[in-house]
This record gives sequence, structure tokens and C-alpha cells, in this order.
Amino acid sequence: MSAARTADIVVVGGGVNGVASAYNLARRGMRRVVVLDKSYPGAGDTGRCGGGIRQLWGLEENVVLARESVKIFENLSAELGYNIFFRQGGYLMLLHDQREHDLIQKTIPMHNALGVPSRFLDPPEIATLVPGLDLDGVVGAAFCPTDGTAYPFAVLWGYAEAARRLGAEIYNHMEVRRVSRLPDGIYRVETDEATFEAPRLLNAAGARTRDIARLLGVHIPTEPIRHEIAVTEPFKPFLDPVVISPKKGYYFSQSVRGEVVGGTSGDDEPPSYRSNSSPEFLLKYAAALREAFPGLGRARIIRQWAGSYDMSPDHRPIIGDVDGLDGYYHACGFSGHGFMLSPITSKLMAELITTGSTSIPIDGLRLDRFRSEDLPHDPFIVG
Amino acid sequence: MAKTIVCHCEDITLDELISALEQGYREIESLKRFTGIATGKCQGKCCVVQTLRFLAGPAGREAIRKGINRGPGTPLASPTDDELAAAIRLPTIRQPVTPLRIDDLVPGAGADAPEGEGQ
Amino acid sequence: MSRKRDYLTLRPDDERALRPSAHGQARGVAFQFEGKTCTGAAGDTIAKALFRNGIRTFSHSIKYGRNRSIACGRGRCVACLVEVNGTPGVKACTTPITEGMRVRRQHYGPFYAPLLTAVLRRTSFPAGFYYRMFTRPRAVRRMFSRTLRQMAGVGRIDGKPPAPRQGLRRDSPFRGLKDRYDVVIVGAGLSGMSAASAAAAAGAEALVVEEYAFLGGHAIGHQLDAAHAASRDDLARKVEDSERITILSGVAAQGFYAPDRLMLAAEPHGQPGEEGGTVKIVAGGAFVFATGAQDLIPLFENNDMPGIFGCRALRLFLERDGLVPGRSAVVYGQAPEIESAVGLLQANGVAVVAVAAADRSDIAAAPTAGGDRVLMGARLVRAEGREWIVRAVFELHGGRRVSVPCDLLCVALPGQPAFELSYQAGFAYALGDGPREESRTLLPKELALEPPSEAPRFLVGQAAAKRDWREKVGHAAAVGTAAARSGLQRPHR
Repeated sequence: MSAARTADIVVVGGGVNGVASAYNLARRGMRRVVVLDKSYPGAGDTGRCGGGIRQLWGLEENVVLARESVKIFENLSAELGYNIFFRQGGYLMLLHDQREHDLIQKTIPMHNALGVPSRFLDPPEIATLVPGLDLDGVVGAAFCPTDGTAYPFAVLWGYAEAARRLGAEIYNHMEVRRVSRLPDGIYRVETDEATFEAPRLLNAAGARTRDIARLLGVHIPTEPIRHEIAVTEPFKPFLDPVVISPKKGYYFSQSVRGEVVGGTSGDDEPPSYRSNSSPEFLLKYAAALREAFPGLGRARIIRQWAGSYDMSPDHRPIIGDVDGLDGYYHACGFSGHGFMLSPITSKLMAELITTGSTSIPIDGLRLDRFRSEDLPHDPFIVG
Repeated sequence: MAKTIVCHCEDITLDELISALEQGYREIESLKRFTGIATGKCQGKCCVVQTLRFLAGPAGREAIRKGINRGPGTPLASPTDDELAAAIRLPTIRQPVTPLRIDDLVPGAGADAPEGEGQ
Repeated sequence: MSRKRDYLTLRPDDERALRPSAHGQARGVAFQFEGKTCTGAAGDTIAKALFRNGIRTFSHSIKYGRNRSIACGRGRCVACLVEVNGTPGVKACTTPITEGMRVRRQHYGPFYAPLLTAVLRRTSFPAGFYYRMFTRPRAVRRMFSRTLRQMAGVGRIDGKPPAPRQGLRRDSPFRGLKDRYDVVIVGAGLSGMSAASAAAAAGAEALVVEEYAFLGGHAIGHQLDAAHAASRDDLARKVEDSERITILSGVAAQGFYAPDRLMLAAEPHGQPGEEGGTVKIVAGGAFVFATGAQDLIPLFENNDMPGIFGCRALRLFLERDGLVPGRSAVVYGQAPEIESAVGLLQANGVAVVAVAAADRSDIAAAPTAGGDRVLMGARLVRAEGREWIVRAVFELHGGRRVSVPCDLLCVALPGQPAFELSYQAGFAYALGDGPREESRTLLPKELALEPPSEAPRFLVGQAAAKRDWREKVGHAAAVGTAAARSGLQRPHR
């Protein structure tokens, strides 16, 4: 076995969070940044998500993070020199009962105060925005015009190429088999092909982050929940916003390529790493889509697949360092929102790792918050 | 200059395939998404084998080697011919095998469909 | 616009289809193409009806606006797509015409697209150029993205739900179907039928799923040798007569879902059944994939030119549909496909003007008609033509190029074993060897399964890369018996 390669940091996980963090670290001057991924770029959940990016959240802290993420997304193509096709068509969250309606009416002022331009739409306004939606039972909607979608692979490739231009090394098909901490505090990361040693480790392995953490004795209370998704053949542009319905549990949007991408919420799905598809989902999703937008009855679904949401107990990310384990950092538990937060997550991780502090306070996202009983929940979790 | 079409669904030419390889997108799953090959209606039935054949041949290998230091991934070492051959595999093939109309997936909805229209 | 020409050589029984019946009713079907009224015959596919009316190219490809027409004949490719009654992406090669159907060419872009495609036709942008161009400033990037968005996609979705269906109706094929069978066989070609028959004989309840409307797969056509045809008919009779075998024809297997389920979809111009829709999920104790082989058109210049057909596709058009798309053909490929393709063409009245192959041994057995050419040591490098092929160009040893005028180019190469379903079901595939790049196919390898949680799966026939029909039938029978034994043993879930 050849000698271990040294690095300034080893990033475990070459999904968007790992690679974007590598980019931001390299940009901040870190020289030898090594990223390890067990498969091809995007094989994990980065390549499986629907690409939605929204600021329509219920908790202030979540809204702030999302807002900062959107700001970065708006300029990311120019920053990376790589078109990520971020289209701000908005997010349209359909409301089906008085409770949802009242909740939104209370939340919108909070958004606006934080600089997020969401607003309430009544059914006639919804019909103008998206002609073709069946508004039976819909009492209104929350709409945020600066939300939208981007192409996850383009975001990943853009960050990866930019990171590599700055000297980062991104290795695919190298699965991390063992992680240990040497007596001098150096992290030793072993794959079948090579071994790496670095004083710092960033654990950003998506739904597998908890498995890597366990190797170092860190317990992360996340659970992987399979979510299924499907795509149709491409059409001329007919749908601007992402349409989601928290109550009915579906979401769908139209990509720049013209395909309608969408899925349903994974209720009753037991925790597992399964990524196989089910025919039941196809039938359920087709029914939901047709009910929401009857004109899509003539559309054809060409592909279905599945991925994991790395669910944390309060559905909020688990980011930061861990007491007593110097040099170890993790970013996980995104509960289905890892992609949309990746620009701000990676920026904050790079700040934390290189300076010890962050421009936006993220203490509330540390792992040790789960020692407390009283955790705020965000009511706007769909997909 | 006449075009050689690799992917008929998405209209991807051999020149484009070579260009993608030379830009470092050599993994079949990355190559697929970067060029659009095998992402159209037929989901690769008519083009994946021709693509793999090309990757396995001398012109394909030359293009891969030209792009070895580019793209989203760093190679650990310059790949040997055997390693290149081993990397040639089918991408994931998902259900459904041919496009399925949403109306046909929904009970009762099939009664509402354009006249005489089929798959 | 070309003047209407008779591209279709009708076979004797087809002539009758357009004549009035004894009761004085015309059995013609009136439909519209691009606003013009045309007449077809009852039972015609859209493709055949269009050919009758002198229309050979149906649409344009999405990026370069290249002409497209029929190609695979079985709904696997996208060459023949047309817009029907406002719905894009309808396969002309397998969809029957109905009275009053409004057919249009598939559009691919808004008004400025023709200019852009005129440019694109002459150039080849590097792959992924849209990732690297116009990344800044923001206004330019947005306009670029909007333009791409307008150019992508085909067809429109509007808010209105699709109109009520008035076309062909028939009972849902899934009425009365069980949820589970001991053995599920995909494909009713010779191998599928042989496996089904053997499975039933071994006591299993078998379900046969066949995508075509008839049994026998690609063993169609009157130039099959007598023993081959007799075997097909005998197996078809056994399968139809057996009480333990349920046959679903015109039904396609759309997906394999581990550990033991298959999603089936009926040709969706029927009425939905009570169970719901035209889709059915069925479980199996064991699965046999008899999915056959498909043509692969190799890479050469203008390989998407209308008029180029694989030999299997040509057999479907000629023998299944009675659609003869050309009059003078060039056949290129390898033995034994070359021989059977030449025979097929000649039996349908098409002149074979040249036969080309890499090796002398590939051509030795091909029957030749008077006046045609034989090209050996030839490699197909280019097709020429504007809206349809007019010349096939070959490169011989030493680099010399030879052009052969034709209006039909048949590529008769080894078939690619069908892999989509079986790959989903866990079979591994690797690229096999071959004398040339164009003869290498993906071949199935061993299946690694974890019984008993996963239902046993088998490959037979051309899907298992078996080519000799006697060998296929024998092997499939043995597999059918084995599948029955494992399928009967597996507990119902």
C-alpha cells in the first residue's frame, strides 16, 4: 500500500454540498482540498432531486438561509462561468383550507420584513398566473416570485469545474471505507485505491453522513426516507412557477428543457436507503398531476426514479462542528432541501472552517441542539 | 460537413459526443446528461449501444484521453486501456420502458382522450 | 412540395381494402394531413395511410431540423412521430388511423428557429455549449435561457383537459386477469411460446405478454423455411389451446419492479377496465424474458436519413403492414441477416440493386437477381439524399469510395438482444467482441440474485443471444420447465 496522500482537508461526499464547499474553501485560499465520492458525479441525491429552490418557509431562520441561497443562485452562473439555468419562475404554494390560509397570512409579513417578496394570491389571480390549474377546493396560494428551479447537474458540474480550476481534487469511484483520527488529531481517510490524511474533515455524504460520522463515534440522528419522482416528455413552456400543495402532498415544475418534473410526499415510507421505484408511486403521482392540471392528461411520463431525503428530527439542517472533535465538520440532515441551500451552506462551511465564525449565525443548527426537548418546527415541509 | 447522428431523439451528433469526451465528461452517466444522449423519449434504446461501442473503440479512447484532466472529476492516475474498457457499462434504465400517458395511468381518466389517438 | 406519387406498392390483398364492399360501402377512412383531406384503408397505420397519399417524411428532428420518417416499425424509436388531434409524439408506425383524424407534422420550434437551425445544419457546436456561453451579464444570460426554453420541447399543453375519446374501443385486456401467475413470460415469439408451453406442461399457470397483436414475433413472412413456419404455428396452437396459459397481445411490459412485479400497459386506444386505466401490475413466481432482438443502425454520415431500415424493421413493414417503402434496395450487413433480407425484399417485389458486406463469406449465400452488384470489403460510410435516401456510399479496401443509387438501404446486421427490461431485472450486460465496431452487441451475463426474496428470472431466445431457431426452441422449453418449478415453489406474498 502506497503512502498516504496529505491534504489540508478531506471532504467526504462529492454531491453538491461537498463539491460546493470544496470550491468555497479553495476560493478562500485553502490549497489542498480533496473530495472523495463513491460513485459518478451526481449519483447520490444531488442527481435525483427536482431542482426546486424556494424561500417559502415558516421559521425565520429557515427563510434567512433560503434568501441568502437565492441571492447566490442569482449570480452563480456568472461566478462559476457555467450556466446553471436558474429560472426564477416562482413557487406557488396552493392552500386548501382555512388553517393553511391563516398560517400564510401570518407568515407573509414575516417574509416581506426579511426582504422576501412573497404575497398571497386569491383564486382568480392563481388562474391568471397558471391557466390550466384546477382550482377546485383551493382557497388561495402563497406565491414567491424570486423562487424557482435550477438544473442540479449543471450546478454540480459548475462548482466542480470551478473548484478544480482553483486546485481542488475531486475523486470519483472512491468509496470511503475507514475513517479514523490519529493521536496527533490528523484524520485518516481510507479508500481501496488510496489513503488521505488531513487535519480537517468535512463530512457531507448526504444520507450516508451519519454512517461516516459513526466511524468517529459521532451520533447523528438522521434517517433516510425514500422519495420518488418522475419526469414527462418535454413541452413548449407552459408552466412558470413550481406548484406545490402541502395538503395534497404533490409538487411539479417545468424545467428549461420543457419536461415536467414532480413527485409526491413520502408518507408511510419507513426509513431505508432504497432507491428503487414503485409502480404505486407512478399511479399515485399520475392521479395527483391530472387532478391538479387536467391538461397534463395527454402528457407522457418517460422516466421515474427515487432518492433519499436525509431527514433530521426537526427537519432542519445539521451543520457545523462538534464539541471535542477538532477539525471535524459536517453538513447533513437537509430533509429534502440540500440542493436549494447548497450555495449558502457551502459558503458558511468554508467560512467556519477557515475563520471559525460565520457571517450568518448557525449555532441553532448544531448537532447538540437535539439534547434539548423544545425545538421549533417549520410547517412548510413538502418537497 | 455531413452529420453522424448518435441520438435520434435529441439530435446529438458524433462530433458532439467527441466534444463532450474531450471536455472531460467521460462517465456514461455524466456523458448522458451533459450531451442529452439517451435522455429523450426512447431513453437510450436506439443510441446507448452505439455510444458504448464508440467509447470502446480507438477514436473513443483517444477522445477520453484528450479530456482526462478536464471536467468535473480528477482521475487518480492516467487510466489504462483495461480500466477504460471496464468503465464501459450501461447507464441505469428506469421504468417505464416506453412513455406512458398520464391519462392511461389514472382509472377512469382514459375515457377522456383525443379521438382515435394512441401511443 | 413534391407532387403526389405512388410510393406504396400494394400487395394483392391490400388492393381489395380500398374497393367498396359488396354492400356498396366504401371501406376507406378519411383523415386529414396538414389540413388536406386524405383517404386510407381501415386497419392502416398512420404511416401506411400517409405513404398511400404520397407523404413519406413526417416530421423534423428537434435540433437540426432533419427529415424523419418511419424507422423501427414497432414504437421503439422516435423517427415517425406526428401530431394527432393536437397531441404531439404519436407514433405513426403503430397507431391505426381513424375516421376524421387530424394529423400534422411534428413541429420543433418558433419562428426564429428555422434561421437558427439553418445555421446549426452547417455547423456543429461543441457539446454543452449552452453551459459555457453567455454566462454573463445577467440580461444576456436570461435572454439566452429564455430562447433555449422556447426552442426546447415539442407540442403544447394547454389548460383544457383532453377531449372525450371517440376512437376504437375494445374491452380492457386486463379484465379478469389475476394478480399473480406462477410464470410470467414476456414475448410470444418462438422462444416465448416454447417456454410458455413447457411451463404449462409442468403444471404452472403462465401469463404471456406480447407487444404485437399477433403471436410469433419476428417469425413472420412467407419466406421462412417450412420447418420454421411449422414450428411457429404448432407452438402458437399449443399456447392458444392450453388452459393454463393466458395470452395478452397488444400489451407491453413497461417495467420490472423488484422483487417480483411487472407493470403492463395495453395499447391505449381501448376503453379502461373496471380495475382502472389501461395499466396493470402483475406479480410472478418466476419470469422469462423472451424479448427478442432489435436492429441497431450503426454510426455513419447521415445515418438518420429516411429510407434506411434495419432488416427486422423492414420485415415488420413488409410482412406485417404490407407497406413497401422503396423500389430499389441496397442491402448491407453480415450473414445470415443479409441472405434473409435479400429474400424478404425480393419476395415483396423490391429490386435488390447491390449487396455489400465486409467479407466475402457474408455474401456467398445471398441470392442475387440479375444486374445487381456485389461489393466486398465494403464499409457503409454515408447516406445521401435530401428528404429520402438516393445513394448509399461505401468505402472499400484502399479507401476507394463507391456510390450506389437506391431508394431503400437495408442494414442487415446481428441484432442487439433486447435489454431494457432484463437489465432492470438485474441481468448484467457487457459489450461483446466483433470483427467491427458495428457488429459488437451488448451481451447478457450471469444474473446475480438473492433468492428466495427475489423471483427467479431467465432469458431465452434472441434476448439470450441465441440465434438458431431450433436451438432457441429447445433451450426455451428447458427454461420454461425450470421456471415453472421455481415459480410453483415460490410462496405467494
